[in-house]
Amino acid sequence: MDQIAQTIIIGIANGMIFALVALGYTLVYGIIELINFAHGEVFMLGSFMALVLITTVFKITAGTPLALMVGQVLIVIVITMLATATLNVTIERVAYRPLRNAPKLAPLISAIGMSFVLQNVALLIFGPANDGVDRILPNVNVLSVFGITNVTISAEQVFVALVTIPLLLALSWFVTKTRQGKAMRATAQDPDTAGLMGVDVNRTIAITFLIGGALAGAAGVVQILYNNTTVWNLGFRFGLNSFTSAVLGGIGNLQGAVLGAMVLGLINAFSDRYLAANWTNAIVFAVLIGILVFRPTGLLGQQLADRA
Amino acid sequence: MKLTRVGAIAASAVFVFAACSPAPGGSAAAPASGAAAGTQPDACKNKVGTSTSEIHVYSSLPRQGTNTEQTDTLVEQIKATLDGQKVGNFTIKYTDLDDSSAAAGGDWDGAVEQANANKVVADPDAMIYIGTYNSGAAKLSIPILGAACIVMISPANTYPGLTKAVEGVTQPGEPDTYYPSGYRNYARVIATDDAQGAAGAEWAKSMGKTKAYVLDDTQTYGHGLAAAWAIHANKIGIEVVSPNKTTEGFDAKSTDYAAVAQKVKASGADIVYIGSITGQNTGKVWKDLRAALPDITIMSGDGVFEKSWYDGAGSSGNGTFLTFGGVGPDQLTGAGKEWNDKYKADHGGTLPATYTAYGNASAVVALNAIKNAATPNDRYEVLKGVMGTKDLDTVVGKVTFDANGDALGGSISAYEVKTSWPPDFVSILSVKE
Repeated sequence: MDQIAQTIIIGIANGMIFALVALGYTLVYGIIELINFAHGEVFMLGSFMALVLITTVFKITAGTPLALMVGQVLIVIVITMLATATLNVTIERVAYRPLRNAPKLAPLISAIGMSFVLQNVALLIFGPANDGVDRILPNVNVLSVFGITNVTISAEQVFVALVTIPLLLALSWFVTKTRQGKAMRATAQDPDTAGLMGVDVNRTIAITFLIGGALAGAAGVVQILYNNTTVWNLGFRFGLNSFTSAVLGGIGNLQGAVLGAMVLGLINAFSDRYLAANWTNAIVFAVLIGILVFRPTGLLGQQLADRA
Repeated sequence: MKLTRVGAIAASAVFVFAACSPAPGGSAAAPASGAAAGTQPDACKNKVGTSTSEIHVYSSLPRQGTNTEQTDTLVEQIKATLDGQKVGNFTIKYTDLDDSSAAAGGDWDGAVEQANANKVVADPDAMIYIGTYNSGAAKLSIPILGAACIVMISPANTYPGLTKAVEGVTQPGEPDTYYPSGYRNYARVIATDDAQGAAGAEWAKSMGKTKAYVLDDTQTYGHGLAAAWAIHANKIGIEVVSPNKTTEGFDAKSTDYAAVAQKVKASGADIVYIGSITGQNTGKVWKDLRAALPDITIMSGDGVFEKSWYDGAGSSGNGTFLTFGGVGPDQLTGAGKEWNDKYKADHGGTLPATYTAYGNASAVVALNAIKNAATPNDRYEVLKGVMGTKDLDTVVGKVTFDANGDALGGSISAYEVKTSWPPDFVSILSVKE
């Protein structure tokens, strides 16, 4: 039982990081029906940026006083989110907007191209090997406060939740309650009509990329503090899981992406723990195919306009 | 319409990701006799170079990614030993080929390795192919080169199945499947993984370990080494608690191994053995194992015996015991020690990488075979020279190949990573075949 509880905790923590990245895929797909393959790489560059800020600029270590550490980590999150948001908007402006009216395959190829370009930029700057930082957050079992010692929730896992949950709530509020969120939903339904109604479609799309990029940056910081390591092809590894999460939950559907990410995190953890670790990807995709056969629009359904 | 779209997206994503994976090794050629070069095989008839002034030697090594730490030094040694050397009227011209690709994460790529072998076959003046670095890549190029009578010398392939059958470690049909032309065209200067795995298991036994969990990266090298370790551990009384009492693969594309570490913890193992190369996400594997099991002993092989592995693993790499299927540069004696001292002096005090000396030895074997061939631009003469190498002085000691092309009398070195890189030398382990 303890083992099952532990596996669930591992699965949920991983699912939360997938969710932050998956939202970037699903937001963009919801608006312009483009799979932004470069999104994983924006996340990867975010994790490298966080690593540089943590190790070189702020020199945060396990010995840094807690209050100072919290402040510095918050600054790292803000700087990284701003940087990756800017990068994502630039990618949209340079690689996707000129192809807005081209056949659907053109921006897709452009996205794959951007993905390779960003991977090689990381390879050039940071080299081929994993870069890492030694554990920064205290090595404690948070559950020991409640007298539980046979199941562990680490400080890293709490940190993941503390960053991810508020961001998800803020995003949900932004999309459903604000004027700009309404413009995003209108653009998703029908960009031409939204334009006629006075929505600045280009600006709305740019803001979508801005938000997606910012979430990828936050995920990059979380990733570095949770996993303590990053590498130039990390975006591909996380991209695979996160994109699958978005499809699993119903592409274009924000709640679906979060649910898909949690399900995927749990399947990954349970497969690694109770089945063979090298079969995990096969199992994940078998589940994906199974779900799509019976629920072709994903667990919570697509939220897209029918433009067929 | 929507269904088709999502289905197509998912299917194409799977396709894209699958296409980016490294190609699996393996060749489905017909079995061969496996005999060493004796009477001239048909593939070797009339294979004399067309140039009257040049002999070409190629190497095929992964020249991107984490491998460059080793292969930059290998290429430097091969070039210094061979390029521009005069043999009779001929000048040796050396060409450095890359068998890695960005799509394979900077590691070897089967399609690129096959293209390299075909390119060399198409050059009538090509006499020797030095490589490969990865055993999986050698599986693909040995038969291609064999069909054109080109001999291969590897400084680093340690998978036994390339040259001999080892129960439980090699696949059915190996090694004959790699020699469809009916003769041997492959030799290596490094000890094989069956010896390294067995020596590592003996070392664990001598530390008093009783329960082992064995993991591998599912590649030819990593799986073979881990399987050899597990088989020998079972024989000498270490209980292997991973499934089926053998090695279990981990997925290098995974983002997290916390659940795998949890499984190892629940098994009650007192040692984890990992067969892998650095580029297979090893930094993360070590970090997750150490987070769940701060005090467990971790042992691994020469696939991670490099600084880039330690840089990725960080302090999680401390307390790791490493074996190397040869003699480390700091332990070389005689001419090897002189070479090591000169290398350090020429490189600002930097130690050579683990395989650097074996790169030098491969080039010396190649040069010796060309120099002693009756006709230095006849592929068959050069092949006979390489396969018949006997008591040749090199920086790693005297090199003699057996009928399979394996170097006789190999050594296994044992190292411990304490708190920094490079690791501390422990001892030379006895080789148990």
